[in-house]
Amino acid sequence: MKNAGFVLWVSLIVFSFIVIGIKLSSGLPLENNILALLPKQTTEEKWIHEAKDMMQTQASSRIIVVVSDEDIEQAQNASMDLRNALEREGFIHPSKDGRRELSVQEVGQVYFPYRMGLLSDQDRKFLKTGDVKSVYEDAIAQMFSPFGIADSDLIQRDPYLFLPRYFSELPIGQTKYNIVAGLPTVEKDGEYSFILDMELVGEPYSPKFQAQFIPFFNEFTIRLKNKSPSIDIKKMGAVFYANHATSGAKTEASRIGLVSIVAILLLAFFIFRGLQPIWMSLLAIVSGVSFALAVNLIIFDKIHLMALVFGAGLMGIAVDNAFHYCCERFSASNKTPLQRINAILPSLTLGLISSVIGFMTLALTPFPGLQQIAVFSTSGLIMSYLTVVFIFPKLDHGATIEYSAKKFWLVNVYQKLWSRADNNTAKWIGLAVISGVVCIGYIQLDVDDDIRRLQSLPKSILAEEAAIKQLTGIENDAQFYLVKGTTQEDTLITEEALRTQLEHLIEQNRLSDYTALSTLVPSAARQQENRKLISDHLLGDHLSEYLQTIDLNRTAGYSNHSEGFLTLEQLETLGSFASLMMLQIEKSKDSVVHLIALKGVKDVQSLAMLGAENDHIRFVDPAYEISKVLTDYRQRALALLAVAGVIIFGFLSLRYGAKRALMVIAAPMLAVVLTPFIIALMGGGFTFFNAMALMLVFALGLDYALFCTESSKENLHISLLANGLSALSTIFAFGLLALSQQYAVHAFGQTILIGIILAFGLAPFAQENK
Amino acid sequence: MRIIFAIALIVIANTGFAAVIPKTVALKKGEVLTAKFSQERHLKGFGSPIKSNGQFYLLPKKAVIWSTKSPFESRLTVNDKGILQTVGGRKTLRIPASKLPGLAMLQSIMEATLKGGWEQLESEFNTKPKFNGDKWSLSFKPNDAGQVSAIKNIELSGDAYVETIEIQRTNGDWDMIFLSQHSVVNVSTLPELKGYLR
Repeated sequence: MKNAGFVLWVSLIVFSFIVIGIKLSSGLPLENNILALLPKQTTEEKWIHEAKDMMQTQASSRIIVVVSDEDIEQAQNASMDLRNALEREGFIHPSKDGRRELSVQEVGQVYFPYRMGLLSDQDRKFLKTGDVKSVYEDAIAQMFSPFGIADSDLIQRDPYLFLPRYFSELPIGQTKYNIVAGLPTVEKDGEYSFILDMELVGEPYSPKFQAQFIPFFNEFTIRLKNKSPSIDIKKMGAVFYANHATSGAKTEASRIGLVSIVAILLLAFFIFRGLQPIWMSLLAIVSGVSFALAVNLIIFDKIHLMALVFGAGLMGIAVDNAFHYCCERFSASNKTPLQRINAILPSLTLGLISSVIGFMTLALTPFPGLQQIAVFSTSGLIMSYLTVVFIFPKLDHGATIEYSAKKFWLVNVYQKLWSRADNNTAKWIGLAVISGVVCIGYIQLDVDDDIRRLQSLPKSILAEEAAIKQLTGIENDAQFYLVKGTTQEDTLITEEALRTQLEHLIEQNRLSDYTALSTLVPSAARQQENRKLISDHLLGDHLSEYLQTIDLNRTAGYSNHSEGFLTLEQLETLGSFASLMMLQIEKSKDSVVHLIALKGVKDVQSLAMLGAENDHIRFVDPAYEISKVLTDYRQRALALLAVAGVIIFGFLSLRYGAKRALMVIAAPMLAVVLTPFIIALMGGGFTFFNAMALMLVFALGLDYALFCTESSKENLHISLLANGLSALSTIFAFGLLALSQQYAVHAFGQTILIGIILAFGLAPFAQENK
Repeated sequence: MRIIFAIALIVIANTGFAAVIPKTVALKKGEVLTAKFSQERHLKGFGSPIKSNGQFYLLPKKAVIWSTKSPFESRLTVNDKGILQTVGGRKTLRIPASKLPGLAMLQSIMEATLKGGWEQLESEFNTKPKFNGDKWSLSFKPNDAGQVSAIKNIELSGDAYVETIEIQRTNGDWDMIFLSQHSVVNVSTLPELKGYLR
């Protein structure tokens, strides 16, 4: 039997390495897009996904650097030097600034032939309701206007002055800058700022790219400042945030990781006078993770980073098992490896079955992330169980160690505390404390998965970004609309319908402004409709009457307008519209996708509702979508934890009976319930990351309770010692993450820290022979 | 752009000269310079000049407002947000400051003129006034063709304040603006300027 187990273990390890070797030959198929965690059936259509990907790439590749100085020449030279250097090193795409910005008059000349089809929203409204009087008034008011916005040349050919009013609505000239030496420049309070708007060539989130780009950028800017000390350089872009996060995470990980490893090594050495438990744990972890990874690689195309991290975390159970096995060396009655493994086998097996049942419930959900965690954890736990049962006894050459009550005095104190607590007074005190924590904690509990709150962005970079936005006016909200059609015309028509609704939202102060390509060029259908409105209400006798009223000669009119329609293609090549043309994010034979950028979003819900029933319109709020995924996962994880608890209770009832099974499960469940409230009392919030950590607390806590329950009275101190070592190692490995500056990591670590202390403290609750 | 330029000149005429001519009083905080205006626009193709009249207000550092009373009520406001034209309270034309890069220049000139910075104006416009007793006149030909191509010449004249403005355009159009009954009052005494009190 034991040999068969050994052969099985070796076969599975060989199998795992072969699978991993083959699958990883082309790199680890790691998925780190948090949106990939969404259930598949709600996953969006391909065009939306592609458009969002493209937007994300475009946005994250963009960097803006502002070089300022009171001396315009110094600022100009420094900005040119910086851009040329970045271009020369291949960090940015070559600049496309070659195209000249047209003056307003020149842009007017492009639009002028099509003026009969170009009506401002207000003029359209007037003409649709037959309110020609208001059109007359507006035109005449412009003619009377001091200093003459309109001259006779324009009035002669556009007597109703439609074009100036249409022009005032155009989303052009909205930037605050002038062009100096081909670069956008802003002058404020005697200081000249040159704006470098650049697109990175590399992947901004890649630590490799960051390691090349950031040092070069920093060194070069320092050199520029040394050369001209008065210049100021500000920067913004995803690469700077990403680099800050990467370097922060690296530093933290190496510091916390070092402390963890040293602490665990010292602990093992102090207890066992050797490192046998460490390498046994390592073996259990490596075999568990390898098998789990192999199984996941077979089942799933891509492994989600979250599944990998969480799954690997669960391997902490393997470490616990190693400690329990090694602690049996303190037992005088278990002298051989076989006796040692047999002593813990019931607890190990019950722990394994309970965890597998618990994690299998996750696999029943449609959430791919939870499914991966389920598969990873289940397969990994089975493998590490096999390692403990079949391999540990073969490697174990350790002799029995004498248990020193003096050395482990804390264990005795702990044991005595529990034996005294077994009376009614203690139970009532316990109940009162628990109720108090729950009640007060509930009042303070703050459940929030808003990703914007969970991001800990560095203040210095945020301040630079705010200054750049204020100076340049480059500011769009993160939310936007995607509009799709089969042709350009189709897309423009859909966009125009959506804009009518957006105008309502602006009137209701739910939105400040938006930028859409259809304001630049109306659809041909709308241009046609505008012409009809003008000719129905304002031409012929109407025009003659109007010209007579204003005493203008009869030759004035619209006779020389173009019969064709203005198209986006006509504007594409003009430099003035380069930034607006980026709103056209896809243009292929049978698909055209536009983006509508939004400003001053005050009511996300109303915006999300617009076009919700139209398949060709999609409101995108990246931060909201991520937050929503996190909320869904948090709720799902907690619900499944409850379901798993019920199922495991049923299973344990078979062995212990309902009452005692309830007592066994009570300790980990109490730890799970109390932890969020204690965190709330400490001023922390409750997020998706806390919920995921609670699942680990439950799995590990259940093991502590089972080892206590299965322990005989004589060996209880050994189980308590092993539990204590397990809890300490978990706290060293994960609890220390509470010190992290990254909110997600901190929340995860804090939950483990508190949860594990509670689970460990409450574990003897189910022990009958305290 | 040319509207900005023209407004700048009006502002200078009414405030800058006020600073160099001893009789006038510099505007204090909360004070408004106001005057009646009548305007004639002589445009090609029109049988007769387009005439209008109303009230002009200058609120230092805040806005210039042309409130037309006749032939019908309309208002043109120029401030740091841009240009806004309304007819009977209804917006008919709004050009944000972002589309008018010259607006900032206008404001700096306003500042200079209010502080009596005549030297800055001399260098800005490269011109000097001619004096004839209490009267003065100033003729200006724009030298930056790219910015004010449509304006050929501007002539200002007055005594304590500017009284006439003549704007000639390259296409033959010309405007005459007559300003009269200038006064400096506190903004709180003008109910029509409610909203500019602060």
